[in-house]
Amino acid sequence: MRVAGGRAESLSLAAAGAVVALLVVVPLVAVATRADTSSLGVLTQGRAWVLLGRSIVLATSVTVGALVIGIPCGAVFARARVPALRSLFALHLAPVFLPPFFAALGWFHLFGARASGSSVLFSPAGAWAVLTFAFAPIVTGLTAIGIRALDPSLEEAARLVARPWRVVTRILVPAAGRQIAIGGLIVFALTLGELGAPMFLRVDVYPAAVFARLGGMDLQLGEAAVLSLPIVALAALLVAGEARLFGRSHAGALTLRDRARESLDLGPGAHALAIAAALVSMTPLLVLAGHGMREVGRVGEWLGSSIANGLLASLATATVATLGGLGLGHALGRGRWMARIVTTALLFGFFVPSAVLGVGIVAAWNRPSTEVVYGSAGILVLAFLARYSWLSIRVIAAFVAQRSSTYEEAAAVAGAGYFRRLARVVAPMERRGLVLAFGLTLVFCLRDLETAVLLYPPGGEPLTVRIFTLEANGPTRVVAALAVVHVAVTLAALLVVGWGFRGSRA
Amino acid sequence: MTAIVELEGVTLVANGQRIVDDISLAVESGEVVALAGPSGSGKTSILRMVLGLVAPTRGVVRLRGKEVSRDGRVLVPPEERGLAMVFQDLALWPHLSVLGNVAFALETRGVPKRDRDLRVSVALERVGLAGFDRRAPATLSGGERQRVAIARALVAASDLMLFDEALASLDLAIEEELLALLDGILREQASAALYVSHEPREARRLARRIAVLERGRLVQLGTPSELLAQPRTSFVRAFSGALAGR
Repeated sequence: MRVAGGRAESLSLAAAGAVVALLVVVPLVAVATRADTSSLGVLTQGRAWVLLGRSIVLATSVTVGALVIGIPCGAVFARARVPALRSLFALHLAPVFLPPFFAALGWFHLFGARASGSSVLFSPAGAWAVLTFAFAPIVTGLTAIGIRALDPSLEEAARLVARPWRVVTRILVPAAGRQIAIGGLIVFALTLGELGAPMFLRVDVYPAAVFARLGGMDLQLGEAAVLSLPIVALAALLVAGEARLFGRSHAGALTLRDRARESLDLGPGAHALAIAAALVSMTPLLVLAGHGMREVGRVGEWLGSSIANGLLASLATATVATLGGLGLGHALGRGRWMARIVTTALLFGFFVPSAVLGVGIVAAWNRPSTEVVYGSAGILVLAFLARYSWLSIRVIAAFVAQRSSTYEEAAAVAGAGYFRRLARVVAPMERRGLVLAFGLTLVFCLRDLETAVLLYPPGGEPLTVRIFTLEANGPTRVVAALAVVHVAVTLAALLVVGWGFRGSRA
Repeated sequence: MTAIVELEGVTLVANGQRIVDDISLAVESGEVVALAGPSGSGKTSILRMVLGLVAPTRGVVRLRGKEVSRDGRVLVPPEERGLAMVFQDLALWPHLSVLGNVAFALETRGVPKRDRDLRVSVALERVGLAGFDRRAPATLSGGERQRVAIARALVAASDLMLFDEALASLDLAIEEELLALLDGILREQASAALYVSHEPREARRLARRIAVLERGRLVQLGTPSELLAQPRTSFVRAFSGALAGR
């Protein structure tokens, strides 16, 4: 059955497709074209394949660890009867909104000073632990979303015959299978692309090898492009995996319903798990705060304009991603095939490591005719859009998919064309989704290090880059204090978004 | 008499299933035709094809003598068809007030505000909701929401109104009240209407002819007395029996 979308919608989707091609496809094509035969030798060295293998092993083991921690935590935070559950959940989720190398810094100040702790932390096992604890809350959050969206009657039917934990393991967790799977894919992709924490912990990973060819004194774009090819293929496998997992139900997989029901008595173990999850997330941040608090008053001289640089680029990205995401997210939520194609391209931008996307953006945009963009904060906005618009589109699509299409059909019958329906019906009805999409994109841009460190314009580095570069040779307490400032900025952004989200309740 | 809406050999296939199967049907100006049939018989799909929300896989839909959909293509989009509809779930926009909901169609047509407000207040008064214009849909009772949906269709002043189970899930007293209201409105406006219902009482009250659908096919079309006299299937026999109050 073909639901009439109209020419205006088709043209808009085609235009969105052209923009996405410019953002994601052109840089990836540029990677392929710059991968000249003279640089192919870099792939014949065993070192490159050892690093690739190490990165894949790290990403796989972090994903497994995040699933092992995140699934029970998600079930507890979604359904357990535990005092202060929401606060503990919020504390557990905190690392999702911060660069993982902050956690690495925090664990370093806790254990790194001792020789025994240092040897464990500065090793692949240490990198695994830091990244697992940093990324597990992603699985927790998505598991909780999946469980909360379940029809209460399905859970109630099980409760008639099974104990609470059995209900969790046999009914709730399997019902959240898709959300858990997407959580696993996101953790794998983020770990594969992670640069900051492994570099800080002196663990060689594949993206660092790509980064080294761009960040050094002489630019080796050809070698960087060649090194990017295997990882582009890997990202393509992840995208294919996502498509296979979710098929046509792209939007429905992230349903954000929260159905009211009685919580479950999961015993004292649930309370202990919730507290432990919150503590593990907060410990490195509290240690960091303790270490840097005395220097917070002195950070002004180190900050420069880095807060404004990061905020402006992030705000611009979040605004464009939300406005553009309205049309694309709506079309995806309504199952339009063109939107699925465009969103898949953007998913590629999210799954491919930033270092690789950065190679493509440098190759595509670093030329005299585009210097106006490449030499300004505009290049950061373009890169952030390529990387994070997928998030805003998926959030908006999830909201749209939950709403009956009859509201739009009624507007169409009343004479409203496509743009009027978007502006007068879809946008106001889905304003919570728009606020959430804006907030998520904003925070992910703020926490970004890997994209920004490659592409920031002269004098325009955001705070994450300033902290990362100072970490190598700056005073440790100042670095910690700057991280505390970053946490405060992120918290302020989250509070404003949370206020907007509550205020936009339909 | 000219046909206001005409379906010619219309078939709709979705997910490999024939939802509507080779249906031809014409509704004259000012005529009310009820579409009756069991669940899944294709009634709502026919309305959606008339509205232009779905294109027929095969066949032609004409409005006021003009082709608006043909063989998998929507030639005239819904917003340009000049129709009015009361949806089964009412589809009142929760972010707009009663006034905003009812005035929406006039606003999209660029009707000046004074004229718009006047027409909205006349429509609200007609459905018994004078003074409700600032209320939010969420604060209304089920019957009041139904009336807002009817006012929203009424204000569009279309020569063809469509109703999809418009009075479903109401208690009998309110349903009777709204049936009388709809009957009055359709007579005053002299609008044609396609009225989807599986309630014989509603069909008997409002429609001159009844089209009975089963498994996507039009099995019988006629006046209530014709259906009663010569029912072609057991469903038509049961339905027309209920029409006659047996």
